[in-house]
Formats: sequence, structure tokens, C-alpha cells
Amino acid sequence: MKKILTLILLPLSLLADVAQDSISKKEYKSDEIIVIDDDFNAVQKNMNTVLNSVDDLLKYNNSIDLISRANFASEAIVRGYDQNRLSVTIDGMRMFSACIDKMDPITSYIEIENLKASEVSADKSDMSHGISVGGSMNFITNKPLLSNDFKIVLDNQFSSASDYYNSKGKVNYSYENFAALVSYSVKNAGNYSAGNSISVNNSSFRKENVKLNTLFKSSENTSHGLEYIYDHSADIGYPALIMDTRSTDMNMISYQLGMKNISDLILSWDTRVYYNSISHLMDDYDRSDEEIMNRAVMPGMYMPMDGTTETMGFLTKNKLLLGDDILKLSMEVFRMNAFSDMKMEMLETGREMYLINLGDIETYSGGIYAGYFTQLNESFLLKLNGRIDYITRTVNNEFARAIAESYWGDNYTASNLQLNTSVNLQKEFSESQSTNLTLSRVERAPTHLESFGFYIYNISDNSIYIGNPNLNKEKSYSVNLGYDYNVDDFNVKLNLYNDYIVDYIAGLKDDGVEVVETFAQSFKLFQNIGDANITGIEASLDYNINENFGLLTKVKYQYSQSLKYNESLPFTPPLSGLINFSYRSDDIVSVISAEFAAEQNNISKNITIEDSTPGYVILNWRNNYKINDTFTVRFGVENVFDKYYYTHFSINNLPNLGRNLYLGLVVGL
Amino acid sequence: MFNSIKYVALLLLAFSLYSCKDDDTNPVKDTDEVTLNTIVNKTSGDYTFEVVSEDKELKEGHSVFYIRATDNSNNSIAKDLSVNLIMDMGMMMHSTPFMTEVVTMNDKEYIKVDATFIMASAGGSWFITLKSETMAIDERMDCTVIATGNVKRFTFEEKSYFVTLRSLDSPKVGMNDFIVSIHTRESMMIHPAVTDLTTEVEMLMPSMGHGSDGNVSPVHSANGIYNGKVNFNMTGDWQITLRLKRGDMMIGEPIIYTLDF
Repeated sequence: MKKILTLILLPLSLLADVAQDSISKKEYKSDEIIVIDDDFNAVQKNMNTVLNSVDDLLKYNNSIDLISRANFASEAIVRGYDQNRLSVTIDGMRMFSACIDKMDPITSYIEIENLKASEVSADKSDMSHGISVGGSMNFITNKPLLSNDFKIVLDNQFSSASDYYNSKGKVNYSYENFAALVSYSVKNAGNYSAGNSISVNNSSFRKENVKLNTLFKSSENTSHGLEYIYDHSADIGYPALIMDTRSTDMNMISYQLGMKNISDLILSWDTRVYYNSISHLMDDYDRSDEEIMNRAVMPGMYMPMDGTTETMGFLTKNKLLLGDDILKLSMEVFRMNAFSDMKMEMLETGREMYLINLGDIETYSGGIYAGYFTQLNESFLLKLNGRIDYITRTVNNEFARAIAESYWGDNYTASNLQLNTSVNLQKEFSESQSTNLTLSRVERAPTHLESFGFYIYNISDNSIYIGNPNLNKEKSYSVNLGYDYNVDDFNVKLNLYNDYIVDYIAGLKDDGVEVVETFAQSFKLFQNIGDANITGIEASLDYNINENFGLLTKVKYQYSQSLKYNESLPFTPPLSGLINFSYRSDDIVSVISAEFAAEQNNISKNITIEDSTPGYVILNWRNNYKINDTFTVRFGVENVFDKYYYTHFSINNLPNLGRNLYLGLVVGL
Repeated sequence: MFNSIKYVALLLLAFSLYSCKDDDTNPVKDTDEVTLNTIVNKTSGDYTFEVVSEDKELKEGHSVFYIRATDNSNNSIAKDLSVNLIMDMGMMMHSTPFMTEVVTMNDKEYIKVDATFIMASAGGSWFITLKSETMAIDERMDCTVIATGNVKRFTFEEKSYFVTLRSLDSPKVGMNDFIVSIHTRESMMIHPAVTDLTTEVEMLMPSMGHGSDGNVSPVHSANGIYNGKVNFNMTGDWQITLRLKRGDMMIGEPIIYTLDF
């Protein structure tokens, strides 16, 4: 009986004891957790070793799609929910994008070599790292290994489609009770080629990332971790937008105190304090005068935009053993400040206008989580989750208060209590078959942008958004039914879900502002636009045909509807999936992969303005060849047939990369 | 022409900064004390007349000033005087809308003149007349009214209208009072307040192509003064369009104010 419990709780223990070696060497075939890094085992016979980026990796989660803005980092959306509706954390720590135009999803500040695993709770059965209407996504970073060893991995890769060069590496040093891990990544990309060899101008970028991490074990069961990540990117071209990112800087630092086996009751206790800041600067100084004068959005002016966020927080979580049952408790508090402004500099007259989009919006949030796991009998396991968060936001900046006075009056504070619960019941039919049912009620407070953003331009629907401090919380009532069939070489997973959302938040047209005839944008005020429903299915099949050959198939489909407008919600993923055919031997991993998406005609016309997206199939061929214990070569061709395509989430239908040949050399010392 | 509002605003800003400085050096200053600048000072026989104002100059448009009139024992004779404001344009003379009352400030008696100068001195020369039959006073004091561009004049159905902007000297981001007074001309000497109009205000940033939300069209309160609100939701160049109506009938062309701050 205990065995079943342990097995099912394994993903959870992975989170709690991420530094443990034994677990991390296992390959996880869970929809929730994807293990990214294998701790210097550079030739792990794992699919993930043939992947090139966080983006590639996230695609392997069957709940995730990616919104791409250019050749730069993509935003992960889970079951069609974007970052506004997800709780995105790094080791449970909060971080908030600084760009009001969503050019810097959290995933853009972390690199694949920073990460050990990503965990996604799309069914909302895990609320330990916060929860939102769309679930949660937590990235677990790499930690130093106490292996009493000195290890180096250097990884250099060149990709043809964008003259992209990526050099990354990591060094682990450990001596007795002390270990340090340093990793870095330098990326340099030129303009990329889309399918049919169409060159996409102004799509280059540079990016550097460094992570320093130390671990000190003061006793058998007590560890101290210090982590620092710096990320910088510059001159990121956004061909689909009217401006480019000049530079971004992210600093994050954290200290972690980990304790294990404190008593018979307390299995583990982890506490963390952290601070991070992001600065994001965009402008259109590199665009031609002709483009500036003739564009549809705010012609005739430069519009430099500056955005910053600053977050600090404390989080503590422990795991208690109550007889055969497990109780997880966690508590977190954080403070976040967001500021963003823009200048409008007229080319011809030199006249300048100034606007604050986010007026030092200060957010305080505190949350308590309790999760109770109990085995009801031989075949039933029950997981109960409850989480309460209180969140309050205030606009501090007087100028920002003044500019929005006509909308907000004296209403500069918005406070919300979020009550979240979920029940997860798992039933084992046999060793190989199980089902699980999750029921949840989750609510989210409006984001700081939705409450207090001012004149935020959204290129997707060519609208200027205004926040609304009087919004109701968005609530979701969800049911998720999962089925798992697992015999030695054959695994089938099936998920059916339905989310009923009350008080869905979106921008609705506001006619209070006079405009001239040639003014092409509309003004939108964030409002609760009634109820919405999302129904979907996710299926995967993983079949190891024999020792060498394997087949992996994933398919998903979703249907969403705003009940008020009788139309799809924005970013509804089309029928899509992938088929991987892989060959593995001691030295070689070779994967032929087909990614496909059907045409998407379920589109939003009122909530935002989408157009139909044609379907596509692309073929990738990725390989890993271990030359010897020191050298491994990674090579392949992505989008083999140079298909011109874009996803339904592409901004302004900007095409994805065309044929991309890549060659990388991994050196492990 | 109305860009001059900007310079006036800057000037006022400079004043306010200057006075702030004063406050800093003299924090115990009596808040009831009003700093008055002498504009005209004249002694005539037994009487002394002084025109003072919180402003340094009289301005085209709404301008408030005070007249101190004393006899040779320094007793106020304010209550005995009648005031008129006259512009001498050579070929003709006319008055301008104003109201007077006797007030006490800084322990002294003054005649407060709440005037709306419908033009600046450049078109002729302004003078203040002070008369008292009983005391045989008939005094004329020349003064200068500087141009602000705050008065818009138009003719509708053969009648002159004067629309005076009484706010936005120092516009700030956010909601601002938008106050105008409207007068018409009965005769050269009589300028009654117009109290029966409705107004419509429209905001626009010409550089951006959009306006703002939450503006309140001015509504008549008293003495031809119409109170409204305008919203500047960013800094930059703004254009305020004011339409005047009597019932459904437009009175004159729309009036346009431009500001840049």
C-alpha cells in the first residue's frame, strides 16, 4: 500500500528533494514534469538531449503551445491560457514580466542550461507554487552536485536558418560539503529565414545568461543554497511589431535553506528568500523614417518604452507525515513593483509627449497552501488541495494617478482574496491501468495590467487597453479526467477536461475617447465579459517497439467559447500534435519528428481580432552521436522541407523558422 | 496665438516656484497675508490711489485687482468711489465686463475689481476711472493690460460675444478645471453676462490623433461663468474645441484652444 503512495508522490518528492541524485537520474514520463537536465550525463539516452531550447522542450508537454513574437524566446501557454492566467514560478519564486507588450515572458529570462525540470499543473491538482485559472508552471533550476568532483560540459552549436551561434557550458565543483555550479550561455543570431527561403528582416538578437550557484551542507540534513542568475539581451528585432527591444537585464538572487528528516513528523522543510529585478527597454530608433511616417500605429513619432519590475519574496514549505498520510504546507509572501512609461517623440517637430503606463504599481501578496494526500484503500488515492491568497495592489505614482483619473477616480487600490480548492481522486484498476479525476475551483485576481495598466497597446487587435480597478475576480470550475495505461513498453495517456470560467476578463471597446478619422486604433477597457467554456482532449502514446526503436505520438484538441459573444476565446489551440520515430543505441539517438497542426477556424472576432490559420506539417530530424566519453556531436535538420508556416499563436502571422541545419559539439570533461 | 498660454503658464510656474522659495525661507509666514504688487500709484490733491494685484500685471481676460484709495489722513474712501474700466481706441471708447466690491485685506480696505479685459492694451490704452461726486473726484489712471490670448471674440447675428478662458494657466496632467466666461455687448459701455448657452467640449491631441475620456462640458453657474473639466492624460500638445449652443443652434464657430506642455 505504501508503495503505491510513494510511486504517485514521486513527482512531488522530486520538487522537494531536487538535489537528490537518485531521482533526477530517472526519466519521467509524466505529463506534469519534464526532466530537462541529467546532471552532466551528457549522453543520456533521452529525447531531451536532442532538443535545442526551452521552447523545443516545452513543446513536449502535451498541454503547452508557444506564442512566438520573433526568433526570440516564446511564451508558453497552457491549454490556451497565457501568462496572465498561469502562475509561473522559478523554484516557486515569483517573477513578473517588465514589458507591457508581453515581449518578455518569464521563459525568456531562463536558459535551458539553467533548468533541471519543468512542471506543469494543467489540471490544477498541484497548488503548492501558486495557482491561477489556467493552472501553474514551475521551473526547477539546476543545483550543484555534491559529487566531490570537478566537471565541465561545454556545448557549442551553430544553426543555419538564422546564422545562430550558441555557446553554453557549465562547471560543477565540489569539495566535501561544499559545491558550486556555474553555467553560462551566449547566443548570437542574425536575421532568420522562414520557409521557402524567405528572409525575415530585422529578426536578429543577442543574449547572454550566467548562473552561479553554491550549495553548502552544514549537516547531513541541512543545506544552504545561494543562487544568482543574470540575463541580458540586446537588439532583439521584432519584425511583426513597430519596435524592437534595445536591451533587457534581469538579476535574480535567492537563498535557500533546506532541511530534511527533521522529526518523525516533519519530512522536509524548505525556506527561501529571493529578489529579482527586470529592466526592459524598447524603441523604434532603428526603424526607417519612411516606416515611422507611414505606419498605421502612431505614425510620425519614435516611441521609446521603458519597463521595470522588482520582486522580493519569502516562501517556506514543509512536508509532514501523518501516519500513512502526507500533509504539505506552504506559505509565501511577496512584494512586486511595476513601472512602465513611454515617450512619443515627433520626428518633424521634435515635440515630445510623455505617458506612464504602469505607475509604480505595488503588489503585496500572501498565500497559504495545504495539500493532504491519503490512500483511501488498495486502489483509491485522494489528494485534497486548498490555497488562500490575499493580493492587494496600489498605484503609487501621482502622475499615473492623474492621467487615469477620469477612469479610476480615487480608486487606486484593488484588493482580492483568492480561494482555491481542488480534489483529485486516483483509482488504480490494476498494475497497468489507472484513472484520475480532478475537480477544482480556482480564482484569480486581475493582473496589475488589467487593474491599473494605462494606454497599453496590443498589436494583436490593434487596440489601446485601459485598466479597470473594479474588475471581479475570474473564476474557473474545472473537471479533468485522466486515464493512464502503462505496460513495459507501452504507455497511453488520455486527458479530458472542461473549464467553465465565470467573469472572464477581456478588453471591450470604449468609445469615451474622441479620435480623428484617420486614427486606426480602438480603445478598450478591461471588463468582465461573462462566462466562457473550454473543453479539450489530450492524448499521448509512447511505444518502445523494441530495444532500439520507439514511437511517441501526442495529439490534442480544444474547443473554447465565450458564451456572451458566441465565439472562440483568443489563442485557442487547433488540433495539433507530434509523431516521433526514434532510434537509440549506445552511441546514437536519432529522432525523426513530425509536428502538425490543423487549420484553425475557431477564432475570436470581438474579444480580440484573430484570423484563420492554415494547417501545416513540418518534419525534423535530430541526432545525438556520442563519439567517446568526452565528445558528443549533435546535428540535424529542422523543418526539413522548408515549409512556410506560422502557428495560430503567431503575432501578425509572422512565419516560423524555415529549414534549419544545426551542428553542435558537446565536450564533457 | 494661443500658444502664448504656455508662456503664461511657464511664467506662473516661475512665480509659484519663486513663492515656494519664499515659503522655504520664511516658514512662519502668515497664510492670511496676501502679497500684493503695486501696478499704479498716484497721488492727486488730498487723495492717494494705488492699484495692486496678486499678479504683477493686469492681463487680458480674467484679471482681479484691488484699488486702495485714501485721503490725507490715510482713511479709506473706497466706499465712496465708483469704478469704471475704459479702453480708449482713439476713434471710440468702450468698457469691459467687471464687478466690484469693497473688501478688507491685510487689515486695509480695498475695492476689489473682478474684471474681464476683453482685449490687451495693444489695441488702444486702458484706463481706470474713479469717480465720486460728493468728494469731487474724477480720476483717470492709465494701466497696461498684457496680452494672454485668453479672450476669443466672434460676432453672431450682429452681436459680439466674448468668450474668456479663466483656467488652464498652468495645465497639469489629469483632470483640469475648464472654466470660461461668456459676455456679449449691449453697448460700448454695457457687457452683460450670457447665461443661457449650453456647451460641448472635445479634446484632441493633434500629434496622436486621439482625445481623452472623462471631459465635462462647461455648464453655466453664475455671472456668465461656465464650469467644466478637461482631461490631459499625457503630456504633449492638446487641442480643446468648445462649441456654444442655444438650444440646437450653434452660436458662432467652434472655439479652439491649443496647449503644449
